[in-house]
Amino acid sequence: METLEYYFHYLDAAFAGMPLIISVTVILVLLLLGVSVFCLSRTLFLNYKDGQNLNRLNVIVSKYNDRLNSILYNPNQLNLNEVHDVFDHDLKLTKKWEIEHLTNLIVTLKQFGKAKELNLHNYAMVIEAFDLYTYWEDQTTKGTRVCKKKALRMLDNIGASVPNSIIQRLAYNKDDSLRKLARAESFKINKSNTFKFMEDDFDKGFNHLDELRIHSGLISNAKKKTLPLFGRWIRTAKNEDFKCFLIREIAFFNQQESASYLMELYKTTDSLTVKSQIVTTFGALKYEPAFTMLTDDYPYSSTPVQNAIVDVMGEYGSPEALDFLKNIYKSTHHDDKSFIKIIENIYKIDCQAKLIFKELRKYAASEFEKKAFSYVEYNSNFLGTRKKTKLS
Amino acid sequence: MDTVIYFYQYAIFFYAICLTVIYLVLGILGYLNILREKTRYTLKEEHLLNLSPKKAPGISVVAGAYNEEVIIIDSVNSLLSLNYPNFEVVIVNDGSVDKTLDLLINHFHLEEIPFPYVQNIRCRPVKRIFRSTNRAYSRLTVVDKENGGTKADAMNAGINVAKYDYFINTDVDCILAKDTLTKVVLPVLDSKITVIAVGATMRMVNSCEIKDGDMVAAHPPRRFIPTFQETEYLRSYLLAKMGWAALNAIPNVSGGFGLFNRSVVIEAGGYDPLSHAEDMDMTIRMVVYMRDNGRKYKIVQIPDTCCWTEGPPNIQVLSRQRTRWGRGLLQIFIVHRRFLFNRRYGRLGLVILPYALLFEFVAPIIEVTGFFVLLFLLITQQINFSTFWLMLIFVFLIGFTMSLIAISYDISVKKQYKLKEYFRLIFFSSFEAVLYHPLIVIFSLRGYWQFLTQENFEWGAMTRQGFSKKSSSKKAVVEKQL
Repeated sequence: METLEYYFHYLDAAFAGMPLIISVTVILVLLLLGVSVFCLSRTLFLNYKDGQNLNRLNVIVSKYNDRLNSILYNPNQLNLNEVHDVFDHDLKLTKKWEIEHLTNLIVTLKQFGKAKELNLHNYAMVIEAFDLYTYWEDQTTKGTRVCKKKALRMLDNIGASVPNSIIQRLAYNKDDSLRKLARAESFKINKSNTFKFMEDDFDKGFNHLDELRIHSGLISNAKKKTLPLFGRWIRTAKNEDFKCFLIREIAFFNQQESASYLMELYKTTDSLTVKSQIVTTFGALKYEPAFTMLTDDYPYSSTPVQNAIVDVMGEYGSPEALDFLKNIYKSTHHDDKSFIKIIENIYKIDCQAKLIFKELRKYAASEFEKKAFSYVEYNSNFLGTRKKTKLS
Repeated sequence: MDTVIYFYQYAIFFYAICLTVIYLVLGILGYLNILREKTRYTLKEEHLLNLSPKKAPGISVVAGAYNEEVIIIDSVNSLLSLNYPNFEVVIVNDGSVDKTLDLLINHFHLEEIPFPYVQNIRCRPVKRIFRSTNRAYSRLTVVDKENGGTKADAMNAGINVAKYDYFINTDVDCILAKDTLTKVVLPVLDSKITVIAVGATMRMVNSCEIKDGDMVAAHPPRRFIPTFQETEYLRSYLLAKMGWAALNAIPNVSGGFGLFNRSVVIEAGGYDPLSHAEDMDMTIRMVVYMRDNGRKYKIVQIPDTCCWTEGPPNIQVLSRQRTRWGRGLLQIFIVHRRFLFNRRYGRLGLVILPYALLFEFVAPIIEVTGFFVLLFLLITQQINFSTFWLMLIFVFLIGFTMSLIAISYDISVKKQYKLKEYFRLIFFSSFEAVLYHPLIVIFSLRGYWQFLTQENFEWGAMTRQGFSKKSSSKKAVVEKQL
């Protein structure tokens, strides 16, 4: 400190009496020098931390890896005392980094080990022996937002359940990324009230990443129990994107029971995105009672809805659907994209005999139309052989 | 004369202060943005896309190739091995006169396909479109077109053929990190506002170890010019662009690597083949399109290194590159002058373009003028040496400190090199102001001059070494649109 003071007074004296801009320059030079020294030190520190982190990881791996493997993949079920005996004095982890690296190691062994042979009972015993669940649960209430996010992710990785009170606290945090993460994780780790946030559009900042998170949560829930019908949440949803997501999920989880509700919604909604999503879902569900409604509505629909209807016809694959496509091909004007879509779906239904496809192809007038027919044929064969190759 | 010099000195002084303050503010904003990005997404989020492949948005990776026979196979193999569930690779053979197309056809078993080509944006005629008969290469599409003379023209053809809503604009001499597509698409998914473009950090591939188009080990360049350029890139991406991104005011998503919203690019008219800075031109026109239509937008910059590109290995190639950038910058201000200081275009008109004008376009002019003024003052013995050294240290420290900040940020994002390699970059940074920067100033001014005198511009020649260095020991000189 004294050295710094000395140089400060030295510079002050050296430039005393100089114009203001010189003093400003001295200050700026000192500032930039300070920043340079700080960044240089930071570079060294970060490099040291990086090496230290790697060493710590190696310590944990060499200390626990073999013993963890022998327990997690042991065909016999071990009790808590037996697990304690295996780790003996190494069971007490006092440092934060030890717990973090050990949790990561256990999760990695669980995820990338031979999944079928993982002894879930022993896995639960290991988690309990190290008291990892309590540690990470505590972390969700203490520390910074970053720590809380990390703790939530760790709890999900471990596969633990978290009391509703903890989720509730985090699910109303100001930080949107923490809030949404907590809400999404509640699908997997909340002990009760799993679907609470579906009732209020999930979150005001709902986006595609949330879709992926919820979708993954729904998949893991679907493995344990039958999912509720999504129609009930569509009824209360105000956010259009969230509605569309739920309609897509109806198709993914094949909730045939919701189809009649979707038909009602199709008639009443003014939203074009919701309408076209409903139509796509009808196709995925192969919900044929909607056929007449869709074909009647086609001339009055917007292009995205029309395109969705064309795709649905391909999904239905019935002679009536083929007739419909043939009629709209002949009777209406289409843009390039819609034109390709129509003949693609005609080919899809008509692929065995190809009579209609060939007939229409004969009358293809422009070079573009001719190429479109050849492209559809090429593409279907290409995709067809790819599927066969995959199956074989 | 004395009064002019007096005012000039004061003007330059305040100019340097403004530059320092702007860079320091960008540095702080950039740091906060890096911290935010680092904690926002983890491997968990990246895995989500692989767990639900049908929900992953499709991405077309579009790369133009003109006489790239030395690297084309390694490059395409590298692009095809990206780790993402839903993507295609579109290679545009821009009328190569070497064996680029033949090599592609033979190696990837390509056959011509009937393709209903729709020209959404203008480009030179497309002759043929190829796909592979081998299922292992089913993601690959090759477009053979007439030479358009510019990368922009090739990109436009690629965009016309691309089938997905987002596309990556890259070059075949770029190596992309395996998880690139996941990393750049996450900010798009995690936004309610339309993300029109995403940029990422680019760095030099020159001395990296590459095997079969894959990055085996990263090293900073050994040659002088690319080493200077490496630090320059780090400053540009980690400090400046990360800082600008915090204000949603990124001036330019690099032409070497960037993710773009295809429909917005098409609506904005695609890349301009007449532009010498087609990347900045495209970014500006996309922003203008969004603002004209009253649509909210976001341009995101991520700190991760996604793209490794071959930097100019010598002064001749650097000269061509920077002269073109100089021409491009001047062209930007002439073509888009109506947006400058125009309130209607928000940040673009009031922040981005004025900054680029004052601190990027004008900088070389001020620097060269300053040099001659300094000579004049030295000759006429008007220099006050007690303050001269202070000013010189100040000017030197502006650049050096920013390099140090950028290097320390790079380690906090991900440590790419060994410590001694980072110190090599720092060592070179200390000479940048004397050895490298004057060249940049001269080349930029030459670019301005060429544009003003409307000289015939020729696309540069680049010495390609190829990625698989052991297998292709012979060097080939090929024309490349630098």
